[in-house]
Amino acid sequence: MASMLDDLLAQGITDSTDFPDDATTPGLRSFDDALRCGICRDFYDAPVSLACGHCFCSACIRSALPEKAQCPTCRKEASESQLRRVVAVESAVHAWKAARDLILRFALEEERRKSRPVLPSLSQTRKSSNGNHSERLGQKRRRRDSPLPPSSDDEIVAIPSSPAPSGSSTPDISSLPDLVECPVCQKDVLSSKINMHLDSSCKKYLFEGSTPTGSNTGAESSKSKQKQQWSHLFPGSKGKNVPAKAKDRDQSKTKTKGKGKGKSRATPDVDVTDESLEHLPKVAYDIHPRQRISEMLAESGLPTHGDKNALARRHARWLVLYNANIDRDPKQRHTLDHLRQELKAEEAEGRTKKETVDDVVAYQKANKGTFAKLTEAARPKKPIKVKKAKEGTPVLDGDEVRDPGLAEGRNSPAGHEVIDVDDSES
Amino acid sequence: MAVSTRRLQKELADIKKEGTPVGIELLSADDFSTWYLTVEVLGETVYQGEKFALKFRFDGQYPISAPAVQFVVDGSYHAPIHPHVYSNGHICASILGSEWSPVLSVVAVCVTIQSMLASCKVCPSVHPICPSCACQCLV
Repeated sequence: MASMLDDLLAQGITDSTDFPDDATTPGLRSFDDALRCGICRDFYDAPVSLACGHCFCSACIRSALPEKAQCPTCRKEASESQLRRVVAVESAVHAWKAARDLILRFALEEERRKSRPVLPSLSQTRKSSNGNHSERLGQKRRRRDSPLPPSSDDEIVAIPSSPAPSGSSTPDISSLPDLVECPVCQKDVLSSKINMHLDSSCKKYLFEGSTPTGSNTGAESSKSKQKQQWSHLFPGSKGKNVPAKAKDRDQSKTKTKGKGKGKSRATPDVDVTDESLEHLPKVAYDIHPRQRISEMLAESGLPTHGDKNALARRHARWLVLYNANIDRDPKQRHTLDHLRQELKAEEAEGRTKKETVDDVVAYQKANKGTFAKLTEAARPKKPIKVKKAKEGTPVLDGDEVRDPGLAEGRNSPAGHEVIDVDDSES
Repeated sequence: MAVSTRRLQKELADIKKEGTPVGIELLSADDFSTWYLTVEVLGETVYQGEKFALKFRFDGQYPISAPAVQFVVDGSYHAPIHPHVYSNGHICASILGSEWSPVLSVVAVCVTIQSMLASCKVCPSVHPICPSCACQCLV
């Protein structure tokens, strides 16, 4: 179990604590932290701000607000209508993600340099001081302009959880980390990330640090190019494609049984990069029959199995994912098929992890014995208020009076008593 | 990967790298559904020298939904005697129910509980039952 955890930790989970503390590299850790959402602790994905000015990922805050209509950080009243895109933060995150690996290597190099003792020839002291915070802080800092001797192999410290482990022992930190070419998309990817890159259908973990200057535009154009390539491979992934439209329409047709031409209120086959796309409105699921929710799901090309609660949950989650996608920069938006896959994956994970009671009646039947036991355990403490009403006349007992007949009836379902009460009141 | 798992991974990485605040220790975090942490109240308090264990349970909705937190009551640990803590370990704290916020974290909850215990100055046996929160306890 513990090893599983370490494995998970080793997968590129980045955190602001990857950077050295503020004494070593002032501001870097706080900067990395400032670009992270307080809810998911990841870099902002489609950042939006509330009226109070606090910023969150669109999907995060859209999940949190229905639970409690206030800002998670300052508890000021908040609603979804306040949400506004924060475009500046979005581009800052984009650029920082591209620059992060490089900056991190610089920062760790700086940390190592500062951790060196004043006399670099004493390799014994050097070793002991590596990675020892308190000792290092107490040491006199090496002057910046002092010439660095070429490092020998024993000086290279294993960088904990560095996303770019550099195999070279030279102090030339601008040398590229070990990159490999993705066999599918032919893009450069860090060898440590190649598996995750392939798992993400070649969408994520691209090595973007290779062009530190102007990497922003470069990465963007390569991304859109990649998108185009994918849309050739998978016709369903881009809305503009004619075959994609036809396919989507076919799907919704078979599911809604010929309802319209697949073009209704929430048509799924739209061009996601369209700037004028609007958020989908929320739905009050309580007032709609199961059939209607099922239709809404089918219109968005989503599965329609499950009971009403499951359908409502699925549709609500879809709205969150869809609306959060609209809050992304049009160029960065995911395709609707990608969102559907995301929803499917979430549901699959939720099923195995959490046991949810969908059918309350069946659950009650199955656990009747347990409930009866619990009721019995709780009963004696409670004074029995209602005596069995005879001929519709309500007889309310005093606290002390106990009906011996009820004692054996304690195992009977709770509904039995409720009926008695109803009778007596009518 | 579920949001809850990613978030807990980050919290765990943070604890492993940066450590926990004084008086709080990670006891075990073998998976992403149940964690155990210990809390000690420092300074001159009625709980001096005592160490309590907290059990955190997370569902797939964390951090949108609050974790279920209670004191461990078994052979080696017991619940503190406190007006807001039941003898079975149940904790009466608004941030674990209605006042939970997704920006809070495991460590933040521990610190809150630590300070809740630290603020108890009178001998707990004077008012053994939670006087104010009867309505909140079942949240």
